[in-house]
Amino acid sequence: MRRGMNESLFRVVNERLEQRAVDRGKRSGFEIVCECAQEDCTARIPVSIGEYEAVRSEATSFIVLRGHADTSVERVVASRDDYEIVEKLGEAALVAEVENPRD
Amino acid sequence: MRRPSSRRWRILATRDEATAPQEPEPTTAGLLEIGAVARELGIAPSTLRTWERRYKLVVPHRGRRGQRLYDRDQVVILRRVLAHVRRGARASAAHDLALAPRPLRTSCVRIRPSPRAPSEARRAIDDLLGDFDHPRFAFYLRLVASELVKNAFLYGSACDPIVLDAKLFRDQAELRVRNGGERLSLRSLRRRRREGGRGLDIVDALADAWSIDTGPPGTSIAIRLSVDAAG
Repeated sequence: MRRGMNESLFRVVNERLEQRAVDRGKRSGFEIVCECAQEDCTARIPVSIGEYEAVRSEATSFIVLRGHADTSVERVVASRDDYEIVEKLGEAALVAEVENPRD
Repeated sequence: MRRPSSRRWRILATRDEATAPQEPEPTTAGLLEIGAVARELGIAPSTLRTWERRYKLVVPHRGRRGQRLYDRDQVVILRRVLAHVRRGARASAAHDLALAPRPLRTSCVRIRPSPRAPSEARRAIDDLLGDFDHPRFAFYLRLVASELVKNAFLYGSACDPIVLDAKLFRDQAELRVRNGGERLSLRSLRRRRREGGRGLDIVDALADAWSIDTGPPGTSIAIRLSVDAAG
């Protein structure tokens, strides 16, 4: 449960980072914080706003650095050069739904 | 001996009179008249009137005859003002100091510049928060502290310790991270934001307010994070 919460809290940070990027007129992309379960991981991942929005449209989807996926609570649904898109499973998915900042 | 005429002298001169605190007599609905408050604080009633007129910090209630009446909260503020004045603050500044919220807890830790510094910052925040029950706030405060300390490690002096000052209030926290090193130029500040100092954008995204002060003998970044902003 705790791990599901950490990703959701990082997602809030990324939402604010995206908003800052948009406010500053950055149309192409920006850097998000890795949305993995480790609280002390603040690795940065460059993403396009389009890709970020596509992932964000699903409450249970997150972007993590390659190799940071935790297969006990999530599965990798897509891979990119630098990062993977994961989908939360079970209780972690429930937490992600409840904590979705876009709800 | 020449008799000083300043207001400060008058306050100091009456301090001894207040050494035996007296419980002032309450009046209407627990409010205190100016004489009772002045006796309790050990100052002249005229001083209270002057503070009211000049600084408008404590504006007393008025009784049916127009007399000044103070409630307990106002007396507490006046007592704080007086304490600051007696420590040497000007009355105008003392008013601001008296109104500033008092931290629940404070801490000051010196962290050796190393890759482990961010982890130590997180631990320092955990120690500060103790049983402060707000997981989101704690998460973001740890994140901000670790990012600031990481930057201090990356860009500051390798010899001088990183100093993390933290204050926890009922509804917010203030952090100040200081590191030694050369003064940062505007260009390096921008670079620091753009590149390795990426933590600053996290700080900017989360903190209610933050400021950076650079110059000998190093750089200091102060932030304020409120419980409300943490969601």
